[in-house]
Amino acid sequence: MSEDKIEQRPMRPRPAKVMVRFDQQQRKLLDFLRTEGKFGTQDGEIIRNVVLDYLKQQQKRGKR
Amino acid sequence: MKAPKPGKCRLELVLQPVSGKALPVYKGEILRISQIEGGQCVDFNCFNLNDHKEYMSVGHMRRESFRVAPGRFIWSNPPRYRPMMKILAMSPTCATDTLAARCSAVLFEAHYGIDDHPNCQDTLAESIGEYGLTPDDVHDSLNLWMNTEVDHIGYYTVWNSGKAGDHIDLLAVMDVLAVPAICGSGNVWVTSNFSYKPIKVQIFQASAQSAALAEKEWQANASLKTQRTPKDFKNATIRTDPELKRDPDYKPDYVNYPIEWKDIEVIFTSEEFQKIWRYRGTLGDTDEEVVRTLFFHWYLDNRKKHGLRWYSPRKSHT
Repeated sequence: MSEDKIEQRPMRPRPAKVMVRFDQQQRKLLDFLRTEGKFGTQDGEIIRNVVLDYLKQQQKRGKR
Repeated sequence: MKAPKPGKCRLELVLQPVSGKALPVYKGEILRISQIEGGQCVDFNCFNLNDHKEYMSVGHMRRESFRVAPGRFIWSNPPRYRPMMKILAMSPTCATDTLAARCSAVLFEAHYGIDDHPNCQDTLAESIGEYGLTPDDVHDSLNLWMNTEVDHIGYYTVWNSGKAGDHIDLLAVMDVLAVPAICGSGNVWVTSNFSYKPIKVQIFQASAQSAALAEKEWQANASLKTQRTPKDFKNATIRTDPELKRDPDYKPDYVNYPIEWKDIEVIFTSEEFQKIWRYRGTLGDTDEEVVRTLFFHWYLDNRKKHGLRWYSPRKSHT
């Protein structure tokens, strides 16, 4: 398959898993957000919800 | 900001070129520095009167802006990082500078071939000698009435905009040794429009209003756990021997060292991930970098406190 064809291939509709490395101080911020209760309880869930909220905010501001 | 009414003037003096004066200013008192003829740059140093190792950090004022303005503080050096004085009032024609450090004898010898030219390092050193401090205790000046501009290379000085009668009022938030000095470079640089002029200095006693404001600012800005003083230091002994020798038994105790990492799995739907993927190349080169950057952009926008800064840089710059 040529490179052009690879580029044109549609993205598969499946969940994407991203491994994100946080140090202990960064994880304290996750703890603060966990305490707030709005973003979930698991680290991955909190990061996901925060990122999605950021994207929503950016969309509202009309940046992307 | 409504400035508090000062108390009675307890000291008034005129600094003749090229001199300075170390002056105790007690909490709640107001130090006023005024132009007599205009166009004279004043270099300023400031020490905690009760602990001379705590002194003004122009670098930490610079992180708020290149120029100081009414409402801002003269901050001390970390780990103390406490408010020393508050700028209550300042004439609009008093351009302030936090970039130019201070002039020294070395500059004049190097630039002009004059090895006995008045300079701020030596004037400040002579002034603080009255309190047993040495030339090594002089620190970067807050430059009052020094009109600097910035370009892509660095700073440069332009015509001094100070007018006769201009003044700056500084409220002592702690007991300080304040040291105004007439800048030594002004007769051969544009710093003071190529001529020295005298400066007036006054100290006003604390009034009920100024004392209350000093206490309020102290309570609001000097109560963080991390504003550490010698009682919190692991090594609180001030060296008197100038030669540095290694302590073979010394074990540094770095904060949170070593860093402990944790890999966290974050799951996005395909649709969500497509939105994230668009940031590749601008907010990171990998998915991990992009997700972490988006997280922190959100955190800075939504949860970071202003703390010791008077503005939130990201928001004010957008």
